[in-house]
Amino acid sequence: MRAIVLLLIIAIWGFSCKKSEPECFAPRSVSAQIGFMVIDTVVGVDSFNRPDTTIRIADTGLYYPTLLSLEQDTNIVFMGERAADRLPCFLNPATPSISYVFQPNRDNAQKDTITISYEPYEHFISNACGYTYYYNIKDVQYTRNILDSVLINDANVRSAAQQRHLIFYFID
Amino acid sequence: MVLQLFKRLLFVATLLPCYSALAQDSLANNDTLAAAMNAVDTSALTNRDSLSLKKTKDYERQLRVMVDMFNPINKAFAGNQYGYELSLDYNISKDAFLVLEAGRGGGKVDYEHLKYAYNNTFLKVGIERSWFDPMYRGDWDMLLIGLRYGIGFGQRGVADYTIPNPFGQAAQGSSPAQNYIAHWGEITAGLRFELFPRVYTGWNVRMRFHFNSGIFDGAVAPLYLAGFGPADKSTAFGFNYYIGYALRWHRQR
Repeated sequence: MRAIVLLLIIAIWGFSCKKSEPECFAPRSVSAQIGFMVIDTVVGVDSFNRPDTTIRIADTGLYYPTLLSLEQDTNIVFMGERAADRLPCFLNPATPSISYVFQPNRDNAQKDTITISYEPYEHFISNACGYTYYYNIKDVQYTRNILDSVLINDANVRSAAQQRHLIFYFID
Repeated sequence: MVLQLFKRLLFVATLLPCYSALAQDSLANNDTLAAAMNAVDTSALTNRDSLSLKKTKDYERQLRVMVDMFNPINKAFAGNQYGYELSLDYNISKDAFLVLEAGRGGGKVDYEHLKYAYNNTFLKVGIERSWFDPMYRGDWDMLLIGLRYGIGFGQRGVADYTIPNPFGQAAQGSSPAQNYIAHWGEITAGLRFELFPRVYTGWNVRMRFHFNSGIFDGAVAPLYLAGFGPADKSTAFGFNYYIGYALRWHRQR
């Protein structure tokens, strides 16, 4: 009985002593999530021949959309998939704003420029992950070649969760 | 214990018929002598009973000092850390123990993105109960289950850190030093074996609940809080492996 207990003690001890380097399971660079929505306006007449306008706003998938950062030491391109309905983008904590060139469709050369203004602040995640930057989005400026409008849906950029911080609207 | 209780009940039951016979004696109802006898008999019963209680309460006293061997070795393996713990217990009854534990720990965090030093001292008080029935006279092996309250006084030094920037060089910063007081509770379970006369070995597993884990919100939480575990967690598990020595004496009444 005592031998079993002693063996158990040694086993637990050995298992506990087996330490490894700390691993970080949270993103050390948070990103703002941008969602895409389409505004579809259909103007027609009803069965009594009266004008009938239907406005439909829905999530939409874009054809390989891209975001390219501008005027940074290191420029980063975010490339979406075939029917991507969202894209992430990094904000630069060293500057109060960042600009991106946005191309919604790989086969269409039309582009828009988006400038996001924000306030970065430091946040301690954990010992394994250390510090990161969180952001408060203040303003978004954009050109309107293809984009219709941009909405700040959630100004608090805190983690790379599924929350959409900005929503880009397109006219169908 | 059960046997003693049974004996006591038997003793009381044996005396009861005599007592009730006297009480129900028709002559005794108006007889002052009988009343006096009755009183004498009752006091005799009480005295015998208290004597019996004293016998059952008479047990060997033990003061045990145990040194934790697990944490010093475990921390040495972890590197840049140290931790020492001492446990003192005293049996306040045959199978209940008053426990006092103390210790100190600390270390250095030297990661690429975070660097600081930390240390703390802790004190725990609690109780433990043995759930082993002795198999023979002088059997001091025991299975213990207990509760603790812990308080830790610590300091985390200035923390220097870097924050990655995907667009360029990492930013550097520092967080000022912080003094703190942490409180926690524990549920413990463990075994103690008397390897040689008065020389013990044994272990404890502990489940710990931090009462004020919010003290580190927004600040750099020390990597390790001696006596508790990861300082930024609200619950933690712990393990101790002890070697110790017991002083024993028989208390005379």
